[in-house]
Amino acid sequence: MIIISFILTFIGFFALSLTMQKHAKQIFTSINKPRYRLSKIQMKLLTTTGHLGLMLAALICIQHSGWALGLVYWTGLLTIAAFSQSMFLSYGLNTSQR
Amino acid sequence: MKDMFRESMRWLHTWSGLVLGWVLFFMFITGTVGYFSYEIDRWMQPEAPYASNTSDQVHLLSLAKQRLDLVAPDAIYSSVNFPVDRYSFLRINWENPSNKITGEKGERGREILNPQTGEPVVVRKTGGGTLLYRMHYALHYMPRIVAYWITSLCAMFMFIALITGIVIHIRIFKDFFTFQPNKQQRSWLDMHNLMSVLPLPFHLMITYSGLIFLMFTTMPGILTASYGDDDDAFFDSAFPLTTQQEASGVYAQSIDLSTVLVSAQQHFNQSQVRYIRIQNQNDTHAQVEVAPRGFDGLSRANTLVYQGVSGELLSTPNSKNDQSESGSAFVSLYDALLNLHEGLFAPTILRWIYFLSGLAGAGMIATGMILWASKRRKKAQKSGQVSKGLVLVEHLNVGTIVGLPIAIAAYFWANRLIPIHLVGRENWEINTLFIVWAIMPVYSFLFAKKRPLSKVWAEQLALAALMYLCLPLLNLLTTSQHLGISFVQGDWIMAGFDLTMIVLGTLFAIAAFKMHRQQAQALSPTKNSAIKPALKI
Repeated sequence: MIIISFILTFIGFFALSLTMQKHAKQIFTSINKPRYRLSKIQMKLLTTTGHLGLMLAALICIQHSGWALGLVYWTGLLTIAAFSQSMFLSYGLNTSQR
Repeated sequence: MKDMFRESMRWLHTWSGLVLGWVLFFMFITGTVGYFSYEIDRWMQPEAPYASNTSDQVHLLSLAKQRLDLVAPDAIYSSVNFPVDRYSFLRINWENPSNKITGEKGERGREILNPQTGEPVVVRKTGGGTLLYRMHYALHYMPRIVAYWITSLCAMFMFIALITGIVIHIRIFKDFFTFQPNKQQRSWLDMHNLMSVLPLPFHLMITYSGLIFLMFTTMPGILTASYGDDDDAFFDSAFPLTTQQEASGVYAQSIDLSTVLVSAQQHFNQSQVRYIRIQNQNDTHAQVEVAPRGFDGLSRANTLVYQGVSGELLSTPNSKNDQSESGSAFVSLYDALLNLHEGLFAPTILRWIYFLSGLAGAGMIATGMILWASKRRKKAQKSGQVSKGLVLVEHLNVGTIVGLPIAIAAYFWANRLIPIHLVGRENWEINTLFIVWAIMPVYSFLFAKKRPLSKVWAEQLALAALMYLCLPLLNLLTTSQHLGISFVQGDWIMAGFDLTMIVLGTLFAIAAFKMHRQQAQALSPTKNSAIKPALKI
């Protein structure tokens, strides 16, 4: 339960970070793709995916441990996932322009 | 106008953060450590043999009963706590009848028993993890009420710093994931933001509930306004105790506890319970209470109460639930906040998330203090005037941010090194903590002129690494519960502590190494050595 929710929140945050100009640049330059501007539809898609991931994780947590405990789990996982995401963006990517 | 507002918020954030920052750091660290208080208690009493979580409780109860009959045959109250979950001792508690003539309360006792033989185990006297945990609200060396006022005040400042922090951090969502390494002050600011924003729900919850915890101390006026001077009236109506009967004074043989235990185990559908206790033993009004493992949402699952002579079930978990639901909204909010704060319900992984969030809180304070100093250092460097105050803050920063972890390690060292039979050894353990903590900033401040600050950081980080890494070794040399044995026995609480110390030590070592390398770079002639480098992550 925890692992699946964590992966979902991480994917969610990854998608959300892609919609942010700054991080999209980081990610796309790391795979040697000079163009990093996304179309409107792509942006919409990513935003939806991001929110869906987070919501789905919340649902799984609540399903598994009930409202009270589930929400505590979810909040905790959000923190950990967002932190790992930001560490991934700063250290995990193979960017030439550090 | 808007800028004015933000500017004044920035001022408030800076100064409310600095004024009580070190106390807050202490509260955050000790409170965070407190999420593992039982585990630390166990490590600090290594004499107690490993008690398996899966042992037969009926057998344990009979062992405990034998011992209780021997040491306290007339006890009016006795309880047996079983080794389950995070709790690793088989422990008995008792209270003898009060003196009929003087009305003095009867003697109380507690013992830890060997779960194999039922013999009492002589454990060293120690404050344990419980004391560390208690210090985060009751501090030390001062009356409780004074400490409550101080910690409440700190929590208030913390709350102000959080709210103003949200206001001045304009780009809260834009910077949500932003961390730019190797950019000196900018990196510290990023880290400060990350550690504040990402666990913000935790920070707000922990600070607000901390205030709520102590509100009866700090805001007695509200109670007095509606209940007059009779405090008890409020507490009785808001937090009714479970029905506790007075002793009748008529003798009646109490029921055999093992029968009750078996019945309760069946009722809970668990083979393990947390404790069994009996009130008014050998009296017609005797009552037996059995507590199950586990939680009902965030609060402890309800206990079962039996009539102590007939063995009749007096309350079922469901009937008690109805009672609590009829309680006021205030009480349920109060309970929910307190439960969230204490996190007793949290199973292992969630407990670690709690722990990490707490560390992030401490990190938020630490980075905030470092930012305060590094900003002023930069300005001072330009104008060429470094004030004494700034140097003092810088050294207090090192001496607390790294010095406090060193002091806590020293507390663990003291636990193993202070002779077991020394009178008042438990006081010396905690004195060690404060002495070491005091030495760290004083020592670095005294030699401030001779050594650059970054060297002080590197040294203290290295010392912390050494002290944490050697703890498992010390455990090996001084006890028979070292890693080799605890692994084989499956004593995960004991082994977990040692392993955690190794991890902590390694982290400190990495930090020390980075600090050292950076300092070496800064001192090399190619760089401008006149400017002290701001710390890098």
